[in-house]
Amino acid sequence: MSIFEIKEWWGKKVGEDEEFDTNNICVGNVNNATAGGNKIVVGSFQGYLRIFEPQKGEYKSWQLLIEKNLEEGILQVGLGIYGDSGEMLLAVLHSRMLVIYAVETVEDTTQLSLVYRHELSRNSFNFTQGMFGKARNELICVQSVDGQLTIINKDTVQIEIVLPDFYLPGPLIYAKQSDSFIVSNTNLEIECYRYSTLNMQVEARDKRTIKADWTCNIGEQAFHMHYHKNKNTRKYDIIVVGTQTLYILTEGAGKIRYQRRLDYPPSCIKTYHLNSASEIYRDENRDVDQIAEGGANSPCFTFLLGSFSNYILVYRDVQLVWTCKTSHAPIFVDISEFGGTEGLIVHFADNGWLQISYLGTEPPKLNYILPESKEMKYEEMEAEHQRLLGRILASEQDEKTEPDYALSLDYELSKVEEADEYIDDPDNIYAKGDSGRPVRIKCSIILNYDGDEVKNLMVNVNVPDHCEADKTVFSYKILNFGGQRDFKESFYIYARNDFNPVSNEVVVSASYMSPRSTSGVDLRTACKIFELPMTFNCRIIIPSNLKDPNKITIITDKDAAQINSFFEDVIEDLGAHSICTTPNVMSFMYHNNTIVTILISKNAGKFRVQSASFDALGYIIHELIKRINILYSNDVKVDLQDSIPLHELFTAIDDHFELREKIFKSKKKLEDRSYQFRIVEKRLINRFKDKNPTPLNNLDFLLNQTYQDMMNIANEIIEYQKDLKNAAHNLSSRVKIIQILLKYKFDISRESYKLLQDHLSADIHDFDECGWEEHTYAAMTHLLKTCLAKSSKESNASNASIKRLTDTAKLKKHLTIVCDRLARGGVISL
Amino acid sequence: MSDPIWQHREIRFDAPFSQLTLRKGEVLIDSIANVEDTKGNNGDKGNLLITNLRIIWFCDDNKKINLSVGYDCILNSEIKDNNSLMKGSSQALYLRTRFQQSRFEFIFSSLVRDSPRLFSSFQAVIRSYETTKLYRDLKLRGAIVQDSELILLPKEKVFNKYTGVWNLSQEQGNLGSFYISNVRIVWFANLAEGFNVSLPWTQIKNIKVKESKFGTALVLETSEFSGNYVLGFKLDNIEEVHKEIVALYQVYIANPVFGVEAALKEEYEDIEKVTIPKVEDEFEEVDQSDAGPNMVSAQYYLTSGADSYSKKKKSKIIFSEEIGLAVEQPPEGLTLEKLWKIM
Repeated sequence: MSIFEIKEWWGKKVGEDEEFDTNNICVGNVNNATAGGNKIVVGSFQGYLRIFEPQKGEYKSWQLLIEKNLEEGILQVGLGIYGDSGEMLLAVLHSRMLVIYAVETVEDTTQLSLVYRHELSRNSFNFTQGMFGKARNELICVQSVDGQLTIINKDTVQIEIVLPDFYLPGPLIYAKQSDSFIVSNTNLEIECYRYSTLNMQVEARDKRTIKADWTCNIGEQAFHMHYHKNKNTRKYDIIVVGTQTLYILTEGAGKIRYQRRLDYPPSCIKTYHLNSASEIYRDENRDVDQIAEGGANSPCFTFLLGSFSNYILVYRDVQLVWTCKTSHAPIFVDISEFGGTEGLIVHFADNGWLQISYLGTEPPKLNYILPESKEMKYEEMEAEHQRLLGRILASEQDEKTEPDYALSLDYELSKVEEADEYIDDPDNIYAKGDSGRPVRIKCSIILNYDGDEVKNLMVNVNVPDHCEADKTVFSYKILNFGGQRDFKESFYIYARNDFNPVSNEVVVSASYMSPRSTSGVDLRTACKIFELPMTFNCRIIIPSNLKDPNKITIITDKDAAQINSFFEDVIEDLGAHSICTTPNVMSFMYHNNTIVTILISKNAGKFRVQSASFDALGYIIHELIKRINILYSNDVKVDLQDSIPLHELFTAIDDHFELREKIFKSKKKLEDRSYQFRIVEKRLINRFKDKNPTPLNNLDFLLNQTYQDMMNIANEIIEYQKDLKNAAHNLSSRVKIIQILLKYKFDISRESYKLLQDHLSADIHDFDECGWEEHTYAAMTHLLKTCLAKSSKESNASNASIKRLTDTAKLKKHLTIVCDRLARGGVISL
Repeated sequence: MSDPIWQHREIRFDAPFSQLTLRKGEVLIDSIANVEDTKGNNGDKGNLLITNLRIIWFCDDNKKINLSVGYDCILNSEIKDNNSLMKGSSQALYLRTRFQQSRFEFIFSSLVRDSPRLFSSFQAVIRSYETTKLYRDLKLRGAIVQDSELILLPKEKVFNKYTGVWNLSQEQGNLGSFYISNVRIVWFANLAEGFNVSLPWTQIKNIKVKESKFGTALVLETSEFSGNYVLGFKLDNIEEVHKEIVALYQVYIANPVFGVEAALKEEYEDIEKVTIPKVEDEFEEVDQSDAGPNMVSAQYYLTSGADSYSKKKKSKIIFSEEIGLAVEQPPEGLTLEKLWKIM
């Protein structure tokens, strides 16, 4: 939309903090000045009545003819010849009163004198005026908020009548030709009531509800109505402005003869005619004469529309011929003559900005800003340039400096205990001690910070599968260390009774915002990993069965030793001296009642770890090797001779993979069913909407059945997910054993071992598309293509994207090859 | 059209530092550091001072770059999103103003994150300014009288009231009451309360006793801004009243009551802390006179009226038959239709 300027001819902000609406203003020679001249009357909701006599230029204080506080809110002002004198009088509508004043100006003084005053029985909304019933003077018809029309002639109330089915008041106009009142109703319709009908009904004391002469559905809430005498068609039009549309209705029958949808929210309208003949839009399809004569399918007049988007638009017939932007959204627009200048636009905003404007024709110019126009000094620019260059260089060179203060984490573990209060355990998953209470360990995280305070601190605790923490997240908006320097948070870790311990590590991580010494903050993290004590994971029992099927032998280069010497602390803590009497055998029982036994060779430093469950071996082996290393102060060579139990790993992989497949398939099925459900639903809705519905044809049955299916599948998925968690745990424990075996069997260095753990991970995370199998397959392929490649020909690391596996054969094959290559002395390196 | 007190009536760009110091009766209401003048000096940090008469902004690095926007020039204000070089997308205070036929737009963004103070302080003050015009503007025929008594403004104190004072502006003279307060002089007719005048001290140019056809009269001349009115009053013991008015005038023209009140929640120390001490500036006072705005800087803020501003070209208003409205005479050889189609 273009934008020519609107130029102010005169302007004034009316009132101080007062409010106005469309009806609160009128323009005319209110004081019947002999010299003529239009004045603007403005009444505010706050009760102030003001009359202005504008002159070109800035507002001057003498242009206010009168300002009077009427002490009651003004709803509408109007000018008309309400009395016999033939003089213009001023009507002011308050909520319960209609007052007619005569406005007189003598010399410099303007005064209001009361002519008539009517107390109204109902709260009024607006009024319209006209020579109803061919009267000689103008009558006033007041509409109340509850739909009563009160027709007032001079000092008498002529008619009081209530409109039927009335809920909300809207605009009201008087149509002269048909001598009728036109109102909008809450059904989004325009209604027409003849004055004569109202008159007769009142005179006959007819109690029946009055009937509208016509109604016309416009489908929108009407906001403004105007009565327009159309010079071109020589008929009267009723112009209605709704929320988004302009309608033109014929007066006689109330038919919509033109409508125009607007692409902005209209706020006010003013219709008028041009003196020139070219008012009606012509093109080859439009015969102007015919349009004017009969079937007028266009407005055939000129009009201004104000919009809430701060525009005033000028339409000539169907054509938009001008647009300009106003500083305030106009709620009232009129065309009037002031100071000898015809065609000035009076526009008024609800905040009181009253302006008289004309249209600017200077094409809008862009204000180019010349850079030279700013005072610039070469030295200053140079200095700034150097400063900026310095900063760029500094940020490129400098390593990120660590903040002055850092948060460190530490931990404290109490002794393993049995809970002394009631712990809710509905699924019965907590391992119970001798007293039947859950086994737990109190864990304290110590936050240490040498600065004053940190912001947005968040501490996360991650515990292994076989235990549960009662609180895993601690967060603080601000933590103030001022003075005390450390801060302690405690929580309990409970042992579960349904898993073998695999990993024993608790990971505590913290993220926080640390204020810099200069300004700003840094986002930092801190992390602490610690192990849970063995006493928390298992107990020592009297060895009974020494012939378990799953066994792994650990060979050291040291002489035979007593088993107790490795587990002194555990025995001490558990008070198990009485049980540990055999020097070469010790049995541990996990909370899930799996027993693992360690046998020591009497002659050499050989250990055998055995259990009924293969998965259970990992943890004890891990602990044992750790303790061997401690006892011999790392000066010991540990070797494992057993073959790599790939078979066990593969079974676990198959179990795990199969469950993932099942879940995947079930989810597909669920997707199918829910799609079907939606389709059936849609069809049903369509049937119910139909005017003549067809039979359901068992659609309802199908809907029901589909719903049942969906529920069953969803439950199935939940079950599978539980199983998957177990399978993942088993897989994890077997991977762990394999890791240990690979390490000691092939004597893998510490760094390589770390890499191996990363490639063949014991952390199992499962997602539909990409689970442990996919990751591991990709990692194994990568190893085989890079560091474990047979020849340089094979070694080309390509970054193939990870795809869903359809079976595990290839994965198994690659795992086997990796183990083979490691056995042949392959080294995993970056 | 000038008002002796220009601070709230005018917009000045890059004014000499002396003009930025507060005048008497002008009170610093809030001072906010780290405010960017997004329109004219995007990227430069500055200080925004909100007084009871105007907004002053000056650049931290170069105090020669500054703005003084009188509240009387403000047409409307708005809080909108904008783009600042210093802060990126942020909320800013938009001021649309008018001064000498030109329209200027100012955008101030607070660079302190989530700080609504810039907006809240300003809005409180401008609201107060808009509702206290009687303290500063001449008003004729206003609704200032109720039940034959003057409606007092907040903090207004009446020093003296004289009855039986004749206003000599009309042929026959009018009998009325005459009030002298710390804010203004008011006279209203006894018979027609609507016939009245409220004249703040700041709008008085001259006070004298003069002979007229009605005899010795007290004559008050209003400022040019208020239209150079000459108001004549006839009253008893005219010499005494004249003395009293002259004495009060000297007090209140020097230290006027402007009526703008804005109570801010912030504790006072806070303001004190950020207030820039009014040190006498290090710059030479190039121009002590009330020079017009610096046009070069003004260009940055101009939204319309550029031509009329620089050339003072009077546009002719004609009635356009084409659209039935008053329009500015189109450039030679162009019709409205042609103009419209170009766009």
